[in-house]
Amino acid sequence: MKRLALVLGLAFGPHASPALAQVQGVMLDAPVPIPAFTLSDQAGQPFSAVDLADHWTLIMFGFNSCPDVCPFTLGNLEAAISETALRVSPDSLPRVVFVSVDPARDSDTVTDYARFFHPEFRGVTGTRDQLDALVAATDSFYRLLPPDASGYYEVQHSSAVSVIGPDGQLRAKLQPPFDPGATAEFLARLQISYRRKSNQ
Amino acid sequence: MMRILSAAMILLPALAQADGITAQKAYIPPAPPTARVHAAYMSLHNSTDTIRSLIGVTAEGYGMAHLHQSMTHGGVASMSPVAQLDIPAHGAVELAPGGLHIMLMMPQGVVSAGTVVNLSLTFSDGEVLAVPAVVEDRDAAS
Repeated sequence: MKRLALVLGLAFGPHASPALAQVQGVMLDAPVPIPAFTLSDQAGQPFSAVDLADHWTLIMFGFNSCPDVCPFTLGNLEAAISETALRVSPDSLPRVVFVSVDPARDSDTVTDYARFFHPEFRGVTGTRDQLDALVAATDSFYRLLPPDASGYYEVQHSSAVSVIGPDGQLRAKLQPPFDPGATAEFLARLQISYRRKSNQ
Repeated sequence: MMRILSAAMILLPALAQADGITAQKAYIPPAPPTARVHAAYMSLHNSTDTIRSLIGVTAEGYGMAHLHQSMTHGGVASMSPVAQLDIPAHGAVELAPGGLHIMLMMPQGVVSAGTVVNLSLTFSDGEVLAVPAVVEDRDAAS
């Protein structure tokens, strides 16, 4: 019986994790231009549409008081970037930008927060209208919920990560659970497809 | 003898047990020093013939701790408090990133990798389970 189990294990082993086949992203049929916006990091250094040019960018919306989803996503993005580094040239490695939609609590800490997960991650936030401009342009969403008795409030936000191409246009969305290998594979394929279209 | 026993207990923070309920692999991912809120995870096992219900959590070194669940509906991530978590008879419930978690709020200090946070889980029958959760990175590249 033990032998049978072993044989079955071998036979089904490679197919035993359907999670690997999960779609990790969606490429947009038509890229979406990102309009002008200006956010800044905690030191006041601006982050605007100009900073999206000539390299790939991954934009994630979240908030620092997010106990579970945001740290998990940033940790997975860190691992996904390491995996992507094995597949693309250093110039093509996406830069990760964490955008806090909760400036009231995060404007002094957002950059440190993002850097905790990777020293090259950027953390920015800004005024409500500037945040809303970027949120709308990337077809994203957030909502601040009413505070509880302790004053803590939760923020609902898009779980997907926006992928901006070197032309400054929204090119794809990454979807949870951001499996590092599959996400890296998706990003590498996206870049190949982008280069093909650019060369046409 | 006592010293050996306590040394052994320090070496075994991964397993906590109380009357048929065990908490396994309890851990807290390292959080940015400025984080005001982060999370603890574990797997809870019930070896008894009856449902056991977790109804409260406290964490040493934190102003508050709550049981929460993250959900993603229509591409939007949100959380909701969980008032009671039932662990089925002879069953288990996983607290894992992206789902059920213990939300740790108002840390009284910086929690760095390697430290152990003592959690207390209160069940509806009055039982209190002490769960030491170690701060360590287990999610990367998983």
